[in-house]
Amino acid sequence: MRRLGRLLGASKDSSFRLIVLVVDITLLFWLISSSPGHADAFRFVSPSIWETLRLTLSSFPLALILGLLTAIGVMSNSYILNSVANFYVRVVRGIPTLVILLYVGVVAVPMLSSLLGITSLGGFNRAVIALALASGPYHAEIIRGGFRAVDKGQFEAARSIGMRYVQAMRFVILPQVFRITLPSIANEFIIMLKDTALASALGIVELTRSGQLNVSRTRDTFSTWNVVTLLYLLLTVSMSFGTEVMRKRIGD
Amino acid sequence: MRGLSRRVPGWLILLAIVSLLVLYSLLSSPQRYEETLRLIASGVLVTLRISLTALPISLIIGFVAGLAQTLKGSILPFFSRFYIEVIRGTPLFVTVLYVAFVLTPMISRLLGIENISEVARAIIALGLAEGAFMAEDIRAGIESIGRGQMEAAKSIGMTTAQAMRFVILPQALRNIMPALGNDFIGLLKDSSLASLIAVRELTHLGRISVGLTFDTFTTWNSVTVLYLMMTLSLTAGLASLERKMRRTAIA
Repeated sequence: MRRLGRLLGASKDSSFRLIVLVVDITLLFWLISSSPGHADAFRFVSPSIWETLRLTLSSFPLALILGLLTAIGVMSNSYILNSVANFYVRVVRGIPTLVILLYVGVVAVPMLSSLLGITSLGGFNRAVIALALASGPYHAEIIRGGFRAVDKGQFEAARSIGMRYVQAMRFVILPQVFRITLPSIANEFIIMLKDTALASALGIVELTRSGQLNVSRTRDTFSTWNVVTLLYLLLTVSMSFGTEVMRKRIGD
Repeated sequence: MRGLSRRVPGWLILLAIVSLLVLYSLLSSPQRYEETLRLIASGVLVTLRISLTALPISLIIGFVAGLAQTLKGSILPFFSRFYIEVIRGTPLFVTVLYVAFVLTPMISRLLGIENISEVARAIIALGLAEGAFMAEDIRAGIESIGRGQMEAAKSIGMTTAQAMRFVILPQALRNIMPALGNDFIGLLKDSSLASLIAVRELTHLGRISVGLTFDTFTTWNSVTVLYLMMTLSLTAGLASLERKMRRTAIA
């Protein structure tokens, strides 16, 4: 028993995630093959995995760019840039993501489009903007931490051997920042994937919304939410397993 | 400008400007805001009640799961890790739906309890979900205390439980406090998800208000400002508490 405990509990993160993944896939297969309710729910909800992934992949780069700009603002010496970046971080971190989605989706985007006189964006694009806005401050925090973790001497040394500012950034500082922040950024990607569940509030049919639709179609809450939960776990745990493997590859 | 920037952070000035704009919009159309606020004001109390009730639940779960992880060499860390991994791998929204429509009906059927109210379901879901995040913070706090502390406590004849109670936890708690404070603010924000199972908290009342008045601008401005008032004052309160604790720790 003691050895089993050590093998399972105290093992490295990656092998533990592999166990969770195996349990998840086994459970999913067993439920689908043994109960018609689960099989039906799986057939109905699984295509909307693509919508969830599309939402995540569209909003993630936007959030990353927003985070980088915010980090530059927070670190800059300019009073105005600094204030704007900090204001954005404080306000967005103080509001629930669901409220941000609703605010952007039904207040900000319609108002801006009527002000600028352009045709309004569709629900998908509104959700992408809102999700990126909501996770920008967290990316900014990670990137700022990454810059702070690189020793100042690195930059000075690069300059002293004759590199220009851009060269020092490109060849010395940024590669190190990238390596330091990669695990946290990958973690933000997983958080982003989970937050897309909230886009259902704007009427986008992603995994969670199609689960709700399946419940109103079949009244079978048990099978539906089992399948939806196991599918989300499949996505997130395989991603965090991938992150762990990647982290080992880059030698951290 | 220079002197001012040293005394007052710029984001606070921006916040004051935005607050003045909101105040102006409130004063220029008071009846619209009065109607909206009458509809949503009670939601603030429900939001606070849900968060404050879920807090002790998530603290207990967090402590049990966090302590279990430090008991290396037994099977307990495995179960604790499994719980944390599953909760952290599922969107909070799905957790809320799962608890509300699968878990609690099952519990009430098993124990023969009459219908569990929506508020109670939301509290259970939030407690379970936030417990996983607190467990990670509590584990990190306990592991931040040097191993020598435990060995020293044992060498003067304390049992493991005594060493935990009198030596490790008092020190760990001081390190964990800021993280737990952030978790509580996260919990308050996450309570907005209870709106999706029809608990009449702030976000839900906002959606009802939009349905009644069709005034999205006024409603979501009010909801956002109310959330900001709660979270920013909590942040400030926790920061001053932390400063006070650090001062007593040094003294």
